[in-house]
Amino acid sequence: MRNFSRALILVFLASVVTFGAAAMAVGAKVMSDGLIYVSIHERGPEGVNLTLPIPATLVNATLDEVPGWMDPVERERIRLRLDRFGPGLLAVLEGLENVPDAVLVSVESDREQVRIEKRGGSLHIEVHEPDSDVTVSIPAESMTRALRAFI
Amino acid sequence: MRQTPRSFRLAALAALAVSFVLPFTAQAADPNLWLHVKVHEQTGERARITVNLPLTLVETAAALITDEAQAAGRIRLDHADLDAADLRALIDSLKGSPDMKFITVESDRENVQIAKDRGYLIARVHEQGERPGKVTARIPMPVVEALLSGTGDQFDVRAALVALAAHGEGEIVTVDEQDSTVRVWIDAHPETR
Repeated sequence: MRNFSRALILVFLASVVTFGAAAMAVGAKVMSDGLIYVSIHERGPEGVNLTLPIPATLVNATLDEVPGWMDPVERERIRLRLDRFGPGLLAVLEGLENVPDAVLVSVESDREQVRIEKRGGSLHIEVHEPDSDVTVSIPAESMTRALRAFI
Repeated sequence: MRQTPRSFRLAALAALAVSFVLPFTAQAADPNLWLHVKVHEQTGERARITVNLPLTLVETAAALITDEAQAAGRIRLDHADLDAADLRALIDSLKGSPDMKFITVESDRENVQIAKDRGYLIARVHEQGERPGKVTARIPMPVVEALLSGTGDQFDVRAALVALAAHGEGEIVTVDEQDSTVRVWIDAHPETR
């Protein structure tokens, strides 16, 4: 009985270590892949208020499978449409992954502010207007993977 | 996300400036060089547009320029349309010539001057009248030659980009009008200066 208890404790500890290590590995992967972040705030009584953080790891894993889930005809239609510009666009997106952090585009006027920025591996887009604020942040690698899935 | 027509116009102007400057990037562009475009509007919505792009990325994007788009370029010079073939003949005739002003057009409306000066093709336009303004474009001759190295009516934007990247840092276009300014330049700083 004593030996059995010991074995049980050892199994429990081994499980804790295994699951803990796995959780840490997943956490590290999620951290390194970053977040896809969408935030929409519309002013007014019926305005949309949405904040959606999604781990890019989840999206990246799903993206690889999306073409397989799609109707073959639709998939081929997308592939054909990307045939001409897809490789060039992919090269641009891959180049974007290596761009250092910087403000790429900024538009400021009395009515609105638009800012497109490379920040910490992600493309960060902000649009501020009198009646709404929109923020979208997408890891550059996720954009590349999304395109690569179809070409 | 509404976009006002005015902002669209300015954004289009900035995009046009970027596409104009594409000829000034070079093959295997220096990864530290950035293309900058700045448009300031002093009236209306007083928009301030800033574009900062690494030359390497601009060069990669140049591959997306279609042959049709390259063939669509024409330059209008005081009511006279010049296509790539006309410009090619003009630049060919200037090869080996000393620095000089080779086109000067003076009218009540505007003064246009195009010159070759120390390895640059320099175009200066002074507009007069109700909306006076000044446009200066300073383009390295190798870039001009590369741009015109296509055949027929085609401008070779990709070749021009290669030449531009090889040229390195410098001011390319400045526009000073009564209600807006545009500046296009290349330097090694990611943010606008």
